[in-house]
Amino acid sequence: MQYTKRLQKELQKIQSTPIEGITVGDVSNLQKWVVQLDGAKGTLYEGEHFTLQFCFPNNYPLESPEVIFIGNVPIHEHVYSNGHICLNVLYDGWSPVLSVSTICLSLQSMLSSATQKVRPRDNDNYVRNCFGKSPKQGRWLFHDDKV
Amino acid sequence: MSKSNKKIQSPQSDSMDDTDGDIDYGSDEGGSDEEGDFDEDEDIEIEIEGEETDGIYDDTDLNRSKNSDFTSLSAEDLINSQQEQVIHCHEVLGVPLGIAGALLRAYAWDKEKLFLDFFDNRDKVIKKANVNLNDYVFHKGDAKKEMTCPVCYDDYNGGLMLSLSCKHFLCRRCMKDYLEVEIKDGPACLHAKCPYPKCNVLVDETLVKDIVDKKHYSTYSKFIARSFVDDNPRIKWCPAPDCGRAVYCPEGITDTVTCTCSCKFCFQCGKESHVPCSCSELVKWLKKEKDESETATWLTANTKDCPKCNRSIEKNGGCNHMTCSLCKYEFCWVCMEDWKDHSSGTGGYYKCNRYKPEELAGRTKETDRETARRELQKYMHYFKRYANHDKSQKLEKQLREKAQDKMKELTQINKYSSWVDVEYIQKAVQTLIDCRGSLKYTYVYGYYLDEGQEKNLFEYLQEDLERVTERLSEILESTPVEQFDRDEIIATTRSAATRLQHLLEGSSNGLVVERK
Ligand SMILES: [Zn+2]
Ligand SMILES: [Zn+2]
Ligand SMILES: [Zn+2]
Ligand SMILES: [Zn+2]
Ligand SMILES: [Zn+2]
Ligand SMILES: [Zn+2]
Repeated sequence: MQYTKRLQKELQKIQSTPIEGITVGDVSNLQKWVVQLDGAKGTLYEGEHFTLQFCFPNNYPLESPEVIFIGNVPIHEHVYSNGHICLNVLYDGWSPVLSVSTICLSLQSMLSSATQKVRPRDNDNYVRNCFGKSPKQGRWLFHDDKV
Repeated sequence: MSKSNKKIQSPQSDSMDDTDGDIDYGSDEGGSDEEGDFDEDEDIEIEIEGEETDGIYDDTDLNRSKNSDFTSLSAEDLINSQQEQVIHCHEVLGVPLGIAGALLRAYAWDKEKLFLDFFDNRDKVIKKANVNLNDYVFHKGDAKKEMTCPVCYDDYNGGLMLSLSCKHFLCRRCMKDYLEVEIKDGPACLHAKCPYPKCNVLVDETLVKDIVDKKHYSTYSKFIARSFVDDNPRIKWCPAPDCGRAVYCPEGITDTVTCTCSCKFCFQCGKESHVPCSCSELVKWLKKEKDESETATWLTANTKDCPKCNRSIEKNGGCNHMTCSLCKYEFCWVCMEDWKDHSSGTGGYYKCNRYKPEELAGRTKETDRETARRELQKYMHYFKRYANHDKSQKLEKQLREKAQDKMKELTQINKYSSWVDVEYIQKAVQTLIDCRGSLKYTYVYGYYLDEGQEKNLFEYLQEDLERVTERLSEILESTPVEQFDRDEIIATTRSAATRLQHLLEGSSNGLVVERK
């Protein structure tokens, strides 16, 4: 892996200066992290805990990581029931300057801005069609790229 | 998924080969003039290109229609021509080369419009193209300070960090890696911006050249040449597979053009030339063909049974005049009827090309099912003939290669005959291919033509052309080359060319019908 040092430093930084509501879990495999994301206070997700899985490609950060919710998937209009997330910065909007913590912050703000707990309108169709595929293989039409 | 290193060969070529600048322009060298003794089995290529070719066709009226102003551009021509435009823009507008390129791309290579807008409102143009006229070089950071690269997280002396005018610094290696990944991802790299999220500063060509390695820059240049064609309404790729040339046409000319590779194509839709049928008719037809593909499969089979003795016969030439090898029955491959009825000798009373709707057996009303059946029958009539000419044309294109050998052979047999004496063969084959190409589309045209006087006239011309075309095909395919009757071939070629011209002029000048 070309950028091992960057990932190590990123991990160090996120562990030494923690951000509220974001906790790094299992990182025994440097290329596959598990991160816990807590629903922020005063939002629809307050008190809920979600788990994110980050898979880093060999040329991360030039290429975006694959990020999905595993286990308890939040009910949100941009999150499919299989854990895939419709968020521009994870795909076309990715920049190598972004990082695990900036992604977590974007996801937190995405959850916080929700006004109702609903699944995406095309959820069933999407989940059926992309069974077993990486979300990065899909072509995303962003419902909302303001977040 | 990223597609990388696309050659600018042709838009549909998927070649991944990325040898620097090694684009095959279709070599012009090696036109072997010497008539030495050579092995007969040896593949001898006789290349006639450029002026020579023009000379040969000069007296064919077909190739000299009103649109002789177009220019065929090789891959090399494209790069040169694109660079000339950039240099011209750089000189007239007084902007750096990299910026000139970015401006031209932002204006889809419409130089005149760019110049007008630039002199009218320079700031607007610059904003539109996301460039900065006063600040278009890489900036270095402060050499007295340490800086952390936001991509690799390593610390560097500021003097080793780079940024665009936005002062978003990256280390040199990360900037290089970033741009090379963009280039690998495809032609969108022409619009590569500063890697910072939401920063819109464009990385222009000069900067790309400055930082990426040679191999990536060469890919990038090919994307530029491709955009020069793809975004430019006056240049179109030749649709012939593996040709890689493009054709430039000045404003106002939008009908059939001919590439140096001899491919004729429609400048409007970019598809193989489809006169006399219109682009929109062709689109409709191709859609129908797709919808009816199942019926079409058995209609276009390569093997049919002889109508007399039922022996299975495979078609391996373009000519539709078939003779059964067993019972010697001569028939027409298209309608399977006796060939005698097709020849001019009998007055050609049987009209193979015409669709005769079934008689309505005294009834005036037909059911929906009958209408559908009739409609399908009509379509099949036209499709069968369309597909047949298409297949014949493909086989006759192979004949074109063989013709080269035959011509060589002829100059061999008779030491006194020169190239000029045999070039009539090449002309004959090319005329045959042209006639086939148009005959194919006359069936699309005919399918959409309303019944009436005009259609009768059109079918008369079509039939006439069809007969001469079959005759020409037969002579060229069935006669051994040493028995070629030069005068007969020349006469038949002329006759076919004239008929083709009549048919095309007739249909385009509205002699047949007023086209919308
Ligand atoms: Zn770096
Ligand atoms: Zn920037
Ligand atoms: Zn061509
Ligand atoms: Zn067309
Ligand atoms: Zn037979
Ligand atoms: Zn026939």
